[in-house]
Amino acid sequence: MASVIAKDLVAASATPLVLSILEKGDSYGYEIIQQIKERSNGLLVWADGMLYPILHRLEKNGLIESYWGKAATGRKRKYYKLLDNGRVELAQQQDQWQQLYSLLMSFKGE
Amino acid sequence: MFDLDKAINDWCSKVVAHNIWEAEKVDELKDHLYCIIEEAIAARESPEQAFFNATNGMGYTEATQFENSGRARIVSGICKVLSKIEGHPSSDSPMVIAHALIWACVMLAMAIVIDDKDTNSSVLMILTLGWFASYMALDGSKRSTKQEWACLKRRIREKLS
Repeated sequence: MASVIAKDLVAASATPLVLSILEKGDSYGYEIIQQIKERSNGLLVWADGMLYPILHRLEKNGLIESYWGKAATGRKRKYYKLLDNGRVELAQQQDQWQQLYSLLMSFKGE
Repeated sequence: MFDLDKAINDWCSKVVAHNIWEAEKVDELKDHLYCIIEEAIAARESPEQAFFNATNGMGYTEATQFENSGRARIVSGICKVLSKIEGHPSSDSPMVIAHALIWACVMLAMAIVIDDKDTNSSVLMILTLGWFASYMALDGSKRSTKQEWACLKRRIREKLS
């Protein structure tokens, strides 16, 4: 049985995961958390308060942008959209994670 | 009867007052809370319990932690007295009020001791005491200082808009 992913790894993987989700389409905070929970089968648990500082930082750095929309209930909802800079950053991060994974696996079974 | 909208608004105001969230981004926080609460209510949780779990799950314990400290009780007591005098609760954070009071005391004390005599040492001592009181109220931490600076900026923006 797989164990829950360590906090350090959760923090380190947050940015590429958020960018990956937004690459699939515009989304909002709660939905992003739900997607992570579902896709990881509960292995990756993000605290509700953890995501927003990341989203706000990514927006400040020009990787994503936000806009206000409306939820089905009529409530104001802030959506996030991936920008071109974000796509470049995501590609770089995917590459770096791939290199790390390859390095880690190269030691396995030696 | 538990009023969910009021509870969410009050909690968000508290989070903004403690500069955990920026005032202009608070609608995003409210939407997030409603999403969690609505899901919990759909799973047959009571609105009150759902609200309690949702706010706890946000992990913003700073506001409630401060409320339970001894210093906070003193500052909160002073805030209550000021609210009665003003007739409405202050929108400032308790820390801002504490600092305003500390430095008002410093200025008053200096006005009392300064006369024609040589009062350099007294003035220096009062300033040092003021700085020390301020430092104690702020916890001496960089984070608190940043929070106070954010609160000050918010106040200036409110005044200018």
